[in-house]
Amino acid sequence: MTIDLKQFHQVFIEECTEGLDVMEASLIALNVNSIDSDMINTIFRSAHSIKGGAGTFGFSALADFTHVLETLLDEVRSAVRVLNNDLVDLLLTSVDCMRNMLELIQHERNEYTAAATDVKCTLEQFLSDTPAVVSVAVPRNGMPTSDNAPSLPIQHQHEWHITFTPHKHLMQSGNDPLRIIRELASLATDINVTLIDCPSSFIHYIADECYCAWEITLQGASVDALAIRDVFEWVVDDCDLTVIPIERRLLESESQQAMWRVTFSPVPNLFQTGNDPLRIFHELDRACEVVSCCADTQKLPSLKLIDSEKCYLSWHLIVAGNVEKNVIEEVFEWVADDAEILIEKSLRAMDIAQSQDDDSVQSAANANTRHDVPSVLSGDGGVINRSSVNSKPRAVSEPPKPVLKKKITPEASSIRVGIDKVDSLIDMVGELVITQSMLGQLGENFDITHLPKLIEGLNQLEQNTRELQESVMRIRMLPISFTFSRFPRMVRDLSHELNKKIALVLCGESTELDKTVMEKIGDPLVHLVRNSIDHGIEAPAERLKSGKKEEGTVTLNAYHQGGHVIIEIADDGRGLDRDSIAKKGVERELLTEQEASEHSDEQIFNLIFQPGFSTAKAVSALSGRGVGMDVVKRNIQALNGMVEISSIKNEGTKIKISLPLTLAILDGQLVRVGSDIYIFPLVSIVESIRYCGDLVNDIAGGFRVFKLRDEYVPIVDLSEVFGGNKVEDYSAALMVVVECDNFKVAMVVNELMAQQQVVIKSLEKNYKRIEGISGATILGDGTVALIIDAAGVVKLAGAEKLHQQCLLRKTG
Amino acid sequence: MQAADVDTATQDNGESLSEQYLTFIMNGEEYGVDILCVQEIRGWEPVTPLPNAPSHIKGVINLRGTIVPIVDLRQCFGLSAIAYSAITVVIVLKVNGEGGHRIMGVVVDAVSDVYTLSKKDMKDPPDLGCAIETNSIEGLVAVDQKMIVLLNIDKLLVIDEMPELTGISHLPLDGNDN
Repeated sequence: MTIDLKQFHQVFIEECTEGLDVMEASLIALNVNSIDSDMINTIFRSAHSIKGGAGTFGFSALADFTHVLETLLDEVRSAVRVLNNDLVDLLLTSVDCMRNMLELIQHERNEYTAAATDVKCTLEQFLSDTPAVVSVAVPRNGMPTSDNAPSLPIQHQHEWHITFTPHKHLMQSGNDPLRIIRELASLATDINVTLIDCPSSFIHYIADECYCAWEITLQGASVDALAIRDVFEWVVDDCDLTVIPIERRLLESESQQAMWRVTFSPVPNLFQTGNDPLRIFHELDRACEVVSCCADTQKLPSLKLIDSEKCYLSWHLIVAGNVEKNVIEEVFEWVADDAEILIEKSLRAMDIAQSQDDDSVQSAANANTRHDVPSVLSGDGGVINRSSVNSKPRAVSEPPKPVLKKKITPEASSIRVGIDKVDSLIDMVGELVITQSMLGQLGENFDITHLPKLIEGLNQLEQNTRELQESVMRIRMLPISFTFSRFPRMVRDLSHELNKKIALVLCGESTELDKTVMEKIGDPLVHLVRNSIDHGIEAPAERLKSGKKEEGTVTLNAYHQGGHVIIEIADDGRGLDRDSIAKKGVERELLTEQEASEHSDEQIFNLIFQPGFSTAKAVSALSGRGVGMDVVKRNIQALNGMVEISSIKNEGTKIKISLPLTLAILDGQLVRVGSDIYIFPLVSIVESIRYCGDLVNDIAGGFRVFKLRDEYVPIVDLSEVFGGNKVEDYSAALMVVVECDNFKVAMVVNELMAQQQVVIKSLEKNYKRIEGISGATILGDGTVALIIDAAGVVKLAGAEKLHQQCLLRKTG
Repeated sequence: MQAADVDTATQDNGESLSEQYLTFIMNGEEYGVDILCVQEIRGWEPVTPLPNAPSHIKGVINLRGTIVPIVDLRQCFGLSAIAYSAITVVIVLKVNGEGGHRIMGVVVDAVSDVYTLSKKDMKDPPDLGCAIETNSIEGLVAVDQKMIVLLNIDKLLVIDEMPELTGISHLPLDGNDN
């Protein structure tokens, strides 16, 4: 029986992701000066499990990569190698590479990314160095064959070119070329085998004679020529064999400087248009020197299915020659419409390292937006893609610069739930079953004497249901450390990049938050933290000048408050510049001069949430804070959350986000308006009071305000706003005072009813958004009740204007 | 007999030419909707009215946990509203729109019959000029001397445009209500 391993792939990927997170966190926490052996062990263990898993599932690329990493870690663990900052950086880069490879695996591609190949080489070099002289900057060569300048491209030192021409009787001596090539493949991470010679005629063909010769390119092989010749040991007398490190060949053409990597993938009907790849390659050879040519036979169908008129192959060519790109393009001119052609300058190690660097910074900064690194052809080299105009863009035709884009496949959604939570659920379901059977028994021959028992049973049922609901909700709750954990790395990278010294303080990491909320809050948080670091915290010199510690602090804090989770992002940087923001606000006619001087700081700061309020220009020299803040606010509002800003000049800025615990359930206050029942979210209610005519004043425009202690609160008649009749007699009415957008509104209702938890149902799914209504719910009796969105109601009633009037009244 | 004819037609042409339609009565006229759009038929039950909704949107009901809006087709067509009773029928329809399908209930006078109709029997709605909206009418068909107006509910029950649909009432050759 075969087991379909694919079903475990998702689990493997999740485990790997976790492992990588652990590695990253530990690496960042590592202090190079006093190494904690436990920490090293943790990193080692994670790497080891990833390697094991990858091997089991046949993801050889990842397994190989991790193996090298593991070897290096093992040396660190056994104190053979001294851990220094360079090494930590390298290890972190490796973690990024593994992450990228894992993403490829998710798309069912078992390959190296270009960056990974290079990092692996660097790792291998580290290994081949004597541990005492470890240095990334000047990698020394461990290869006996490469006795040349160390500045040479690293990647080529592990590439070998082998020509294997067996004599005819090779197979008669019991040797199998296939076996040899397989063995070769095990030496290297990448092997390209090209058939170079075949019998021209079948007439003289003898079945057990070998007429073929092969050209083999090994990549990523950390072996010397001897090891390769070892593989051919048994056939060495029966064949002609040449083993040349590719770097030599490259060296020969080094004088010509330009190296081009050409990928030529024609469409199947290439031949039908009268084109001949061979002719093209010959022409290319005339224009410049074709160093190597490998055919990619992946798309080759089985012999039965081959259509002799179709082209199934694609080719990878390495071309040397001091030519312009357009010379190569010209050669392919005739087939440009029938093929995908990718021409790029062959990468130098430095280039790759550079692009990798960019990569890691980008990925840290946009931890949620993944990018696909095109498999092999990534780099900074100029790449053109001359695929036909109407051909669909494919993965390879993507621009090689790290393209930031959302992952195409939806994020695998699963939650890891603690076994204790599941156990408690099972207990509760057990209780529920017992209660149910008890009630069932009771119902079989019920008479009125059993009534107390029935009531007791129903009470029990209610309790069970509530507990069950709470437990199920708890399953969705995850500690916020899941979101916070990405920040140490980000802060580390950013502070390197910006040359600032920044300490990150995380508090309340165990605060639990709904998974959907958590997923959506990640990006806004990244943005805010980035802002704090980028614009809030000053450069060390500036900080010292203004009498602060050289090292800036960014604090992330999470805690529960009422039904909300509060997340605070605070920095001790330069703070927001009220005047600049106000000035820009006036410029953009968001407020008048007078308002600018009268408004509270908070109101002014809120301007940075205005769409397109680019303070980058407004506050240019001081701060660019505010870019994209409207998106942050929108995201948070979409979660029913709120953002507040407080800032003191030169002391820092604090941004406070409050989020609902969950999106699915809210605590509601049922009210009756006319004959309909509506629900207020309990969190929005400040207080409920009886209508008192003495304290109500009519003001112009038919509005009424209510004097609540020392402030005037506009009154909104819900019944009127919702298109019902205006209540004439308020004497029996109640007022619910709600707070929205920082001011209070009193809403007139007829009756306050029960308070209960309600499950939020979408109105938009089958109908559309209704102004003033945030959703619907189903009450105990099965009828639908609407949930009031206070801010929407206020808008509907035009009460915002009213509020302004109240302010005037108060000030006047 | 008709069904058999249709069957052979289907085989001959290799494409489906016939569809089943559920018909209902409103103000004495018979209307049809594609039966594949019909999710269920329910009796009238009290609804929760929606604030500031147009008059033909009666409100929403709880249909096994989903919130479903109820549309009064009479009012939608500009006919006079009648009082709902225990025998008033709500047809729950699945309407395909831009953002996937949505479930809506329509109130009609009574459900009539299910017919298998062939596309070739269908007549295009008369062109009454641009003054009258005929978009939401798929066609007219005659069955046993009766005329049935086949409705395209995907075009009829577009939430944002529904108030404009009153013009359709001119079409059922019944001027009494206007």
